[in-house]
Amino acid sequence: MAPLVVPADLLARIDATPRTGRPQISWEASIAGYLYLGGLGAGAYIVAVVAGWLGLTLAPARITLIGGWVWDWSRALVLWGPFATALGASLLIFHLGKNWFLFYTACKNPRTSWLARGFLILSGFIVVGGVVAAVAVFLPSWPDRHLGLWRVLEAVGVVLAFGTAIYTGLLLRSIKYIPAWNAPLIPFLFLASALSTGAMGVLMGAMVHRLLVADAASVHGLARGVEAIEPLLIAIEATLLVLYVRYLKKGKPEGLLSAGLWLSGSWRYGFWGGIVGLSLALPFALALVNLGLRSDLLAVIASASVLSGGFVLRMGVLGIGVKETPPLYKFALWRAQHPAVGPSSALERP
Amino acid sequence: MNGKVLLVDEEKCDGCLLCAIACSIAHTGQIDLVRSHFKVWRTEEQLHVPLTCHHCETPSCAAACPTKACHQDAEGGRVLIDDAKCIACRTCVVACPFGHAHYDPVARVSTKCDYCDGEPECVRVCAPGAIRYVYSDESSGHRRRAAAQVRAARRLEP
Repeated sequence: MAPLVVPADLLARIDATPRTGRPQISWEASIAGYLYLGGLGAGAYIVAVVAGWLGLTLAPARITLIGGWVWDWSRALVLWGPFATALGASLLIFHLGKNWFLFYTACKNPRTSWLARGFLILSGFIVVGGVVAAVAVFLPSWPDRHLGLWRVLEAVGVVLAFGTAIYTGLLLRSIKYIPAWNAPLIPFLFLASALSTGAMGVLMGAMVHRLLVADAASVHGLARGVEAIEPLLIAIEATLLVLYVRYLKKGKPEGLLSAGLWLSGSWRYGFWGGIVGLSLALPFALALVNLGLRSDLLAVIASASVLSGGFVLRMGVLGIGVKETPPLYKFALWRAQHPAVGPSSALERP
Repeated sequence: MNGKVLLVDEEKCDGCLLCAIACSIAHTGQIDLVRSHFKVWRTEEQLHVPLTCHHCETPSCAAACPTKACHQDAEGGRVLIDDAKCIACRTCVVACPFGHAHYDPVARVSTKCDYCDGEPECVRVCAPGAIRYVYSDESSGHRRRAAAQVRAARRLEP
């Protein structure tokens, strides 16, 4: 039988260019949203609960329903974190394929899969954090009557929230062959960003409370407390970002390529404007100025800036994920550059 | 792994792409190189690099899969993806160091080479003999000889 031949014009039209040296396209905006909201929700919960332990809370805003059931909706403005994380997890549905309805099976391989472990950690945080938020809003007097148990429940939620925040970085770190993701600093960078964005999210909740209650004193303690720690959180995040970029530049060629995409490549506007500008420089400057001015408007602008920049950071890390060049392709490039060396088949046994 | 593996000799490959075409027809019923499990990369020097799944002994894709849809066949050591369980999270795609697992946008699952249940189509259509289906111990011998040749060549460099 005559050998089959593909027409030359068809061959010429087929793009056989490898994807080496280019960022991955498998994990995109919905994954960035999942990572962002997971971290934001966890960070907000940690900040809200710890602030509560320190006595920094919003003035109660109670409504009494028929039958004497009292709700305190002010707690909902700071304990929304678990619901933000749940929203982020639901965004994954848009990323999945034909069997999306089997998403609940994504916990079957926690022995080796970080996605499976994250499913369990996030589920735990959403449930425990959700219970804490629900009790705080719908049974506001219960915590006072059972303070010990309440603190334990809050603390379990804080531990799960830390796990959620750092898991979003560990998920990327587990991908060994994308240097920009496999960096040791990624989990800590995402944790710092989660705390920073979470703090600003809680501050936004406080501003909404001030708007609705029209009482400046009702937010003074919590808002000012969050504003006082925010410069520190931003400084930590900025330090980790610098160290991360330096690590990429000194590591594998694909890591250097990833850093280049941020610093001067296709991601330069997102990096300098979004990550450095929105997430770090602008809110840091506003926070320092506002320590004296105590302006609610500046606080809102700083919050919006950090919240936007946090999402850009997740998108940016995904967007610079360049996979290592496969060994066979490296060998082929070496062979192409050394044609004088005879074919390896010459060494084969007859 | 004591089963058979695909052994690819990139120096014999002439870039005809029949392997990729045959693979896409066998698995999808049509010529669609995006959905083929066999990829042939072309370097700037017009050297062709045929690439397919290595069915690794410790597969990164199976370790990363949260639903165990991607798993290792107990008998022959093949790494397979169960279409019925795959939720297409594409963790296997990002985890694979060789970029072989890929997302099929038509079937909406992640997919990869499955050796065509023991009779690979790519081997059948490869005229230059660049692709062979051999026992794994023969495959490792070929790689050792190729690596030795590379080391020898580097010693010859000025």
